[in-house]
Amino acid sequence: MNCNQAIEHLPWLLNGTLGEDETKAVEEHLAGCASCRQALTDTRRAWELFDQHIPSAPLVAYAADEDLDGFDQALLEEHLATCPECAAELELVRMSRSLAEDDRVAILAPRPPRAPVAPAAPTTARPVSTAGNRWRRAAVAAGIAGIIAVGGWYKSAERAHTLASQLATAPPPSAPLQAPPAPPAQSAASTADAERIATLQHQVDEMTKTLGEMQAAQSHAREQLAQVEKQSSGGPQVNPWVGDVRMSADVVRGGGGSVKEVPAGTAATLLLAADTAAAGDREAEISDAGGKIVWKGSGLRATPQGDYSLLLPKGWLPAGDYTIHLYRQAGGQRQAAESYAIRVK
Amino acid sequence: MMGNDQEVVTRFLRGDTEAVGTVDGWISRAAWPYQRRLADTWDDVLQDVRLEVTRLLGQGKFRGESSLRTYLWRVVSHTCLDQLRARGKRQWTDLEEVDKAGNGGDLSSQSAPARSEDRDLLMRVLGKVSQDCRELWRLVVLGLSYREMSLRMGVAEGTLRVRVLRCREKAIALRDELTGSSLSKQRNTAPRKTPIESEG
Repeated sequence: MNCNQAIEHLPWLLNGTLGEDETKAVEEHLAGCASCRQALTDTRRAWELFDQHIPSAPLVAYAADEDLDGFDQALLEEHLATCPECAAELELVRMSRSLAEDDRVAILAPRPPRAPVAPAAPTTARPVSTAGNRWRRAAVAAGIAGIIAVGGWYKSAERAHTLASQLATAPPPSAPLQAPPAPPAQSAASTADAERIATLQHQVDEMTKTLGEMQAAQSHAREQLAQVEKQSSGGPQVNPWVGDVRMSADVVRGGGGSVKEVPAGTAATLLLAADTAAAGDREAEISDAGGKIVWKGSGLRATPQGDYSLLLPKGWLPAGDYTIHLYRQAGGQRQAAESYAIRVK
Repeated sequence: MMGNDQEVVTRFLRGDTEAVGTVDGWISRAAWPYQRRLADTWDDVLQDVRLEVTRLLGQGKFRGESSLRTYLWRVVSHTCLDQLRARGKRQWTDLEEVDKAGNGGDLSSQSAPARSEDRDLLMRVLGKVSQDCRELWRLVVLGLSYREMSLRMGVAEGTLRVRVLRCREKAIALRDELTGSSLSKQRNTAPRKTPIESEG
């Protein structure tokens, strides 16, 4: 290997992707060539430069719309426009802030399992949902959840997902490249790479297609919002986050610290972190402090992360303590699964 | 709010169960979006956040200039972002033998991460590098082999390696041009305080 060949391989020597033979050849050359060792130093300096990102302090300050402590805002925004990693991190920070400061979104961890609760006669204050209006309620809930209950958080999740997808797909440079004719036959390694890239591309296409479907569903839900506002609430709505949680790589199943207090004066989306051992569809019941069932419904679907979601419309539950019970079907029988304690204030 | 927050802090530092639960709940909410990306070390990260919060509150760093919840969000975000970035850093392949053969092992010291006071300048340099070069090197830094890059972009491997080399040369020239003297001056300045240390 001569100097030119060795120097050309240095970036990939540093990122560890050279083959065994190539690595050995480059290292042997470096051991005996001072000028190429200097080139290695320069390559490391270039790496350090190209691996620069916005420091966490100004990124967090920017998310809070605060002074950047001397960091140039124009420089920051210019970098954000061209760096998918930093843009995705900014959305994570913004989502974190939304959750930190917005009590309308509750993250519930399941309580320890208790003895199964026998199915009770429907002494509900409100009628159980029928199959006919479940669809309607789900669409209504999606509209509310996307637009009212969580507002900017949903948008942030969507943007973070989009940015993460962009990062994963890592588009090639935009400028045209002078590509010579492709070699007539690929090596075994190149074939494997081609197959891997084709597989990844297929996955990206599938994700893009699914995202389009989700966005269409969201648009449909928005159209129904006007109708939602005219209707008095019929009770909690199941699956308000079906598309959103499923699609976002950045919305994850909660587990830290159950939130027991739920505001009564606003719509509240409850994200129910499920026991992962037996995920699947669930029936739900809400009982008051006296054990009286005030609502029951079915068809809660788990996201791939194992979450369930339930939307409590504004003012639907009077102040007080309640328990949300989830049930699963096993062997044709209903069995108690997770339960969550909430306090409406 | 101020009075309430200070009361929560006081009770938290006394170990009051309710205050500890309140603070932990706020931390958990703020940390939730980071959980998936830090899943395999999540318990450790969350514990780091709690320790940092305890340290900062114990040292009286929270002075009520923002709400306690916002302050905790900052601590959570800084800690989680730092953890994310530390995980994302690619470890360079072991080149100790090459370094030893060179100029007295001086290479490793030159590859150390930039000091915080250098970063602004390095970002300015990066801003002057062409978008094409930034994209090419982003893929290198992400850990793609030149074969993968070649297939992805439809460019011959040899051409690609030359392009990356040219970008490296331009970047180094820009870096030397823009940072050569100013960096050495800045290295004599005191390190800037972190926002968490200086805010309240």
